[in-house]
Amino acid sequence: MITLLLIPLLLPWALAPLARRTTQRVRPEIALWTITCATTALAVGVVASLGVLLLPLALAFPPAAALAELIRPLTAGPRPLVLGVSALAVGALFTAAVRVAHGTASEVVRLRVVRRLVHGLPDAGGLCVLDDPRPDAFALPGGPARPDRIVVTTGMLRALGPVEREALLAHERAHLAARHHLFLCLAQFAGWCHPALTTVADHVSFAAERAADEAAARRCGDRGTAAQAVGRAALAAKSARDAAATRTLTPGAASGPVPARVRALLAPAPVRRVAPVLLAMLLVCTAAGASSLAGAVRLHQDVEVAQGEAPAD
Amino acid sequence: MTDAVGERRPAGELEASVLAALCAADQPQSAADVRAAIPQELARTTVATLLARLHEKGAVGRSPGRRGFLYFALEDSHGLTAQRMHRELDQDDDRSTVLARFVEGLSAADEAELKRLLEGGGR
Repeated sequence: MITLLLIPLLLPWALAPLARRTTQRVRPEIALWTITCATTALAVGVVASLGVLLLPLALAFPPAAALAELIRPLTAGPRPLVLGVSALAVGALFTAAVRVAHGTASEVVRLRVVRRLVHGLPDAGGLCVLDDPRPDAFALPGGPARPDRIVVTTGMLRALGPVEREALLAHERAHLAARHHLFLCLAQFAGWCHPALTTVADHVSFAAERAADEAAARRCGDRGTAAQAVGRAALAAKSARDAAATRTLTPGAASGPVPARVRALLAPAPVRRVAPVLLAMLLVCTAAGASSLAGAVRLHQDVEVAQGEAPAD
Repeated sequence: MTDAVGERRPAGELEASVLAALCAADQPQSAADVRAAIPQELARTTVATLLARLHEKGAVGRSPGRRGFLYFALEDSHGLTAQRMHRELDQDDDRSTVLARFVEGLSAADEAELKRLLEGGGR
């Protein structure tokens, strides 16, 4: 029972390398969908397994046992082991809950502030220009009452040529049209639930950027121009940051997503829809689902034994 | 941009392009200047109409020039909006995942790699 419920907690570590390969090999929109679905499924599996693992500890307390009408103690394996794992599950679930609550709160507060700032600016066709020499651009998803916005600083517009500016606008429009923020949200939630899924969230974000880059390239009709736009924007942002020199943003050695995006745009358009790596991801998710379900069924049987409803074997 | 589809696109997108071109320039622009700074092939009168519409919306300012109006981007004189936006978005330890930024921070190695890529693929 315990082993079956531990498998879904270990499988997320298998997803991160699969997700990386997927972003490299499959069309970005498909990669975005599959990785997001996989990470969400695994996060649900993690939470479900942790939830089921709480039971042995909860039922060790007499009042809870009485409430569940247990007539003898629940035996789901060696007692110290079961109770130990159960206690760890409590800790893990608590940590995940705190991370979700804290992360959601800070994200909501930030979105609210940014929205208020942006909606105070005049817009033209969904574009708001922020008078700021630091190059920056992002897509701000709207809500039920507020429309979507593209926010670009004057610093960014000045760093790009006419066609590159169009590529930037097309990139941001693609994010908004495809509702990429929902994918990012799901991936982020999953990342809060399990440490291995935190790195998967970066792959989801990369797939979203790649999908928007491809849309921009299709719009300009030239992949090289889109690559130039991404690369020059990143270089301009970097040099502005270096000039400000308030802090070092990224450690020197780690390679970020931007060169990989430019490299992908300079290569021919990705066309593959299916790859073995997708099947591997499906397998991982199925395994997680099956083992958490089987573990829950086994525990349910143990509870029935403890309730005296099923014969102990 | 080789596709001459300026008229097929929604008017909002053209407005956005015009605003972007105007804000990229560092001095007031006439309709003809803006027309030259956007990749879409539009008639000068179309650009003038778009600029007038942006002015009505309060998105750009204008002043009378020698031939027609000169348009300019509105400045955020105190930079307050920019400051607050910057503070919200650039917290290293707590970055937003929902707001998809066009480009995130580059490391020194990334910078070198990017320069190499852009020079190699520069056309």
